Amino acid sequence: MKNLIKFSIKRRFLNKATILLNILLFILIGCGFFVDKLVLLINPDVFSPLTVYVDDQLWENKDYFFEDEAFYQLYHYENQDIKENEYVLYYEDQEWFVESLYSVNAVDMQKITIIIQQYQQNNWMSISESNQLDEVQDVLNPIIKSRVLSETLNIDSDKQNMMFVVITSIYFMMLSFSSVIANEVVYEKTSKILELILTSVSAKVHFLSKMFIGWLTIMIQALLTGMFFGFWFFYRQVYDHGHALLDFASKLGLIKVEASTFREFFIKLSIDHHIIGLFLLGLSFLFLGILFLQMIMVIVSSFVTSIEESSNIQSPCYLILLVIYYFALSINNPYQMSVGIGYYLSFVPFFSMLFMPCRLLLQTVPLYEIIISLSIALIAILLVIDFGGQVYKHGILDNKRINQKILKKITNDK
Amino acid sequence: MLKVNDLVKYYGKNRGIEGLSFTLSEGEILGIIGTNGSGKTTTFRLLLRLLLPDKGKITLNDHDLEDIDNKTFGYLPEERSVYRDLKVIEQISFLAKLKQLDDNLIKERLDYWLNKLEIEEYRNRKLKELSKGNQQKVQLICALIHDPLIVILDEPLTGLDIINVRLFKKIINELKDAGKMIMISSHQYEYIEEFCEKIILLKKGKANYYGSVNEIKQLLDLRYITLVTYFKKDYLLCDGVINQENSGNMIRLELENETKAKKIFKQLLKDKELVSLKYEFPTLGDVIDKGFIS
Repeated sequence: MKNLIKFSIKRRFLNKATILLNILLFILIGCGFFVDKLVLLINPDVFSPLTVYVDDQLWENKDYFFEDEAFYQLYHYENQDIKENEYVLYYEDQEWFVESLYSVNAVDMQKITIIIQQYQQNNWMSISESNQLDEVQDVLNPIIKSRVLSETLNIDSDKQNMMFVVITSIYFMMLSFSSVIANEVVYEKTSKILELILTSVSAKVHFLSKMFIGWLTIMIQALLTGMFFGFWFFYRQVYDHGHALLDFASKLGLIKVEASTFREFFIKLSIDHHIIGLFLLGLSFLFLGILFLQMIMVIVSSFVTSIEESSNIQSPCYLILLVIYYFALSINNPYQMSVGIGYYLSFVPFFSMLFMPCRLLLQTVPLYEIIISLSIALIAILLVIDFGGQVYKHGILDNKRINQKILKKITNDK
Repeated sequence: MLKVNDLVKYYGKNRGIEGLSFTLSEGEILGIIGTNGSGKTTTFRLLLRLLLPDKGKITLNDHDLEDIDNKTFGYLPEERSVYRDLKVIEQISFLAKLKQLDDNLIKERLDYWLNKLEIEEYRNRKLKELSKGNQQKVQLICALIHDPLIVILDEPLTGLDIINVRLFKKIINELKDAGKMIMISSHQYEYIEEFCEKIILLKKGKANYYGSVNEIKQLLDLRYITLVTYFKKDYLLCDGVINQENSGNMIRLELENETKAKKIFKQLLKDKELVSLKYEFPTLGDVIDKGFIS
């Protein structure tokens, strides 16, 4: 088995396509770590403040405009030429007008709306009594405080999002690799090389080796990806401690934690043992699920007789996996994950790879439920190994043994 | 000695092999002949344990096949079973390693066989860059590199040019002399006749004949004369000629018996227009074509 695994792993990673893929992945991760620089390179004005000109009438009341130079800069309009991304604002016959060289984009329009709203509010405040204003404010912006009765896990949304992104990224990465093993079996079967291999190793050993190869491939690829992340992270750390990147993410609203360096960011995230434990647990479910899927795909592929046929079998598998993914997203709420269908699916092999991590992110899952779910997933895999090996052998060699009674009948008939 | 006793294999309700029995000793070559779907490959697959028999037993020196080391068999499949994107040495080394050969031994034997089969210059070439004949040579090395006792060659000479056919024949005879048990299947009866002492003729999964090649050839009293002439002549008018087969410049006459054949042969020797003349006993192909063992 060792030779089969070594051979396949070498073939998998030391080929032009995989090398190119990893170079591409390396570049993409690098782009991710320097996305702020790239965006500014493409559009240097992306975070520059708006330039807003106002007419004489509004300029007289310029005190009502709020002050935020990072958001916009206010100037008096004196018939000067307007450039791109500059706006003239004026109020006429109860209507607001915005003049610009080109049509206003959605983001700038949103900003202008905020400027006008603030202006009107301040204007109104100046002519109204303060208690009247408070009442109106209360009506318009009611204060809502949440009080949750059921037990939920208190993980802030940044951490939840981060874990979810990582888990789903791994999910899709593993999906792409799970089909590789199935394709390898189809190739070996259709090229008849399998017959030669099986004169040296049993079908069961071959089947198990494929499982190991699939799993090892995922692990090696994950390790490589981790190394690429590590490299770029270190590079960015040396470059500016991640300052501009965090600032960029914060401006886009991607992170809520205010931090100027990576170190500060991770300290504020307070990633403790509990979070790491949850993440690793979620990852374990994901690995078991993908292993299960890989086995099923390999077994099914053993019955395939041509390369063309293999895609007919694999496509529905992908469809099912996508459906599961979106289904998990759609019911990813505390109710469904506590008592609804998500709860039950977190115990079902294969489904548990997504539903249990979802539950772990949303709520405190009792230890016994985790153990039960893990045990079910493991037992399912062991059963598939046992029965799957026999089915696989029949599939790849058309090795169906006939019932002795039927055999007797056939030979007598002839 | 390899003993196969009453082997039965069905694919669902379709017969693969039924009641097949034979023996094979060291230094012996057994030919398996039959049309497509007659059960030749099924027989090989059963011997290689790629298929399990529904009935029957296979033993080697009285040991059950399941207890036998996987190095015992060397198999050359009919189809080109190669990783097309691998180099020659990579494919051979991979399959040799599966047979538990260590790196030094693989290197030593690889050098020997690449030289012997005259493909040393292709050792670092990808298999997809090789001709069919050279791919077949690589497959033969894969089948022999672990020095197996039983060599199974499924259509070994198909697609080879005449020089390589000679090379393969030489190697097969050397293997025989080295005491290997060899099984060959081929559609080319002349090669089977050349190599094998014994043959099995399979038809629809059953052995229609199992025995010596010489014995089977004696079943036929006919004789043949092959000649080359550039003038069209109807030899069917000659006494004793019962059939005439034209193929290009060659004419093959089928004669009733030895006496009449010799008489005509003497007359033909006097014909000055003839550039080639050959007297033949019936071949294995003739016996099979005449339906003597079908």
